[in-house]
Amino acid sequence: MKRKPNILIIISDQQGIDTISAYKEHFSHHAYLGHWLKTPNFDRMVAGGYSFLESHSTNPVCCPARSSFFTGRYSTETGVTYNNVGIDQNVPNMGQWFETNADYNRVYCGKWHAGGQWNYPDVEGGRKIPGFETIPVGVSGTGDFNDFQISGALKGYIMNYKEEKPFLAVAGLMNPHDICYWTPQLHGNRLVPKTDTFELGSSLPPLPPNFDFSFTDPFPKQQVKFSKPEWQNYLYDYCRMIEKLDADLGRLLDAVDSREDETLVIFTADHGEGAARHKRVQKWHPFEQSVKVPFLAYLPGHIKAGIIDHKHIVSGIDLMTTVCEYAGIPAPPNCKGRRLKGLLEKGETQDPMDHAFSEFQHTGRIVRKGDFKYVKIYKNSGIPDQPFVRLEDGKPEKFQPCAGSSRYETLPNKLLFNIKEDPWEQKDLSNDLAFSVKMNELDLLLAEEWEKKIIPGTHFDRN
Amino acid sequence: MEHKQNRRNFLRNAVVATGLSQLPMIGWAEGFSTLLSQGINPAGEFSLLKLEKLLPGYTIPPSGNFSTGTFESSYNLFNLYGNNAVNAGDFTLISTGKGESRYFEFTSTRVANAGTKEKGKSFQYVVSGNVICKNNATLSPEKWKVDSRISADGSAFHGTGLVNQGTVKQGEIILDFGARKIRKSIDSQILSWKWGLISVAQKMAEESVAELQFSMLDEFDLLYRNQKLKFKKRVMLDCGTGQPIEFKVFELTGDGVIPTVYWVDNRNRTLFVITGMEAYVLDNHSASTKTVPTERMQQVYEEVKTPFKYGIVIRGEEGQVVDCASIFKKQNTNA
Repeated sequence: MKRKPNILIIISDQQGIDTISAYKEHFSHHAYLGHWLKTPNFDRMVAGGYSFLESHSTNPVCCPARSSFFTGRYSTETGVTYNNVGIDQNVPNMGQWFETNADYNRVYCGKWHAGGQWNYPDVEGGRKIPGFETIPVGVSGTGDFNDFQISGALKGYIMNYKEEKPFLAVAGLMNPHDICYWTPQLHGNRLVPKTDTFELGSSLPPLPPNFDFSFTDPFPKQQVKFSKPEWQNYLYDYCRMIEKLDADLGRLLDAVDSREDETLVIFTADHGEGAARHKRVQKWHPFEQSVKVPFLAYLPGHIKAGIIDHKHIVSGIDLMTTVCEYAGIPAPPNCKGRRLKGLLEKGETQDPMDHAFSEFQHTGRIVRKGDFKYVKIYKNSGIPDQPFVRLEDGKPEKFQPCAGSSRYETLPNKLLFNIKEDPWEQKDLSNDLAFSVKMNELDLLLAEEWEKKIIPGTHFDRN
Repeated sequence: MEHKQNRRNFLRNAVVATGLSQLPMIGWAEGFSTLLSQGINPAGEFSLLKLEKLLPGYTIPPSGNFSTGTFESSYNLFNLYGNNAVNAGDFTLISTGKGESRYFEFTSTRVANAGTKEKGKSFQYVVSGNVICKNNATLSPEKWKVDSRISADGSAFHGTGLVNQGTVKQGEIILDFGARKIRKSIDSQILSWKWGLISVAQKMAEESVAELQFSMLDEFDLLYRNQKLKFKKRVMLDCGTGQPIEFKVFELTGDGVIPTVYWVDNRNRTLFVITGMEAYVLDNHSASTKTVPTERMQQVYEEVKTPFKYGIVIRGEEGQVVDCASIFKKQNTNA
């Protein structure tokens, strides 16, 4: 039997989808960040592989999104609806699933943060990530400090690897998450110049067109009060972090390309970055800059080269299913992901790829289908593990599989955007009667295809 | 006591220079009056904001001058995040000048968990090696041998140990990993290397060079283009001795680089390298002022040259002998 390919999964942190210079043609507005940075290694992966422009985070914050990557389940199902809680006991992670179902050596290096205490596996032995051997690189949580170690160590691992059985390796890179330390909430203004002190001039990116917007903001406290020069310095440094990430990606691609056997490489990010759009930094919110992330697949000779797909809608939920497909094993039970191999290699879809669901902020829901994005927000009780509020008696409860609107209170301000015509999300259509049918259609899709079918997690304390 | 007083002075002066402090204006070094009278808050002062957490523990190395191109210096690396400054490792650079070439030996050690030991093991990421450079403005690397590994008590972890021997030839970097080679185009631009910039800044200060443009190697396999290292200004700063010192401040900007500031003192020593979340600070004790002994210089020279160089391989004009450093032994040929 033909040996299965090695698998290398590379995950970045807080990388919006427009941060790849090869996508400039597709994100043509000059305020998109691809116009303000150079990513020769991402471009090389785009040219040599298949990448998706309609790629979504399942829940735009670290642990929830990552729990989906490694289980193929939504965060309500893994139980990881916010940071630093463990994946449900009944849901196997990728390492565990491969350990019992596939003949692969499994190694993890870098940021895990998919639930539990092993945010950065700095130790071996009992506290290592279940199902994986770990290469320890420290716990500082910064790309500056960790990423070159991660790429360097895994480059060594991949170039030195000589075993018969294939490897499953994961690189959990931190950048461009370092930009979090540039925000006043975390670091004062220690890292963001208030003037063009470095004389960067025309190299400073402009403010985006949706810096100002007219619709009612469901989360106005997320808006950040930087001056224009501060925003521009912030964006400039964010672009440099992407370029650092690009160099680390290049190291890993060099290692893979130098091998004589075959290695599937999948690159994606857990969530995006505010990047001054809607006056925001970081993630947590339902807008495109927070939810849209890169998703690239690379296996020369098998996966089509140079395809930039803007038609099929994918999300982090699809990673587990696809990796299992390439390893020749079934996906775990109740896995919600879709199989991408047929699309990547032959242009043939095996599962419906016309929509994606995301969660956010405990009680937020996002449905993306066709040209539209629908955002629905249930009222939040403020209790992390029982965030929903029952209509019947106002008591808090964790989400139950049901048509949610009939059971829980919602916030009045829903959002509806036509992403094709309004990619910067400047015009909310939810109050326009002309779109009431579209709203109802997407609300029904959410109820029937997501809320009724999920199996909420019950044991969050395994880790 | 004296050290504590010095540290307090340094901190106060540094903070005052940022213009953000509400500290009383007592005991300012005269240099700062000059600085503030200019009404500016350039990069040098911005970078001092980041040094604020480090300065209370710092005293300036007492003597030494690096302008000869021969020096041995050690830096402490700090990771600046949140409101903390955490020691994150160290870096040592030995430079030996010899004719048209410069020879460097370096070791970068980053502690994997801020020095924490698990099961009695100390995890580290270590990169060490040596490099032959042209003795030109950017100290362009020509040949090197670099060893990197994630290690536990010195042993490479999970096969992560990797030796990279590299050369630069005809606008191309060739990385040789034994059975495999990786090639990278450098677009014929002038090349420098990240750790070497410590010395480049010193050279710029000594020779009053205002600006350099180049591509930059980081760790000898990460390539960043469009780099610019430029002189920003002179700054008078009291480093705790009571005597203000004139610093030359240089800024590095370019692809993949968070703007980085190099502080070079009046002895042509790069005291501080400050960037987004990291600071390299010249160590007071081990960096000091050693002149590398002749025996050591010869040892470095021999170690660096041996893997690559095979002596005289071509002849020039009749009667002349040419030592061509760009021709190497390859599979028993002189390719």
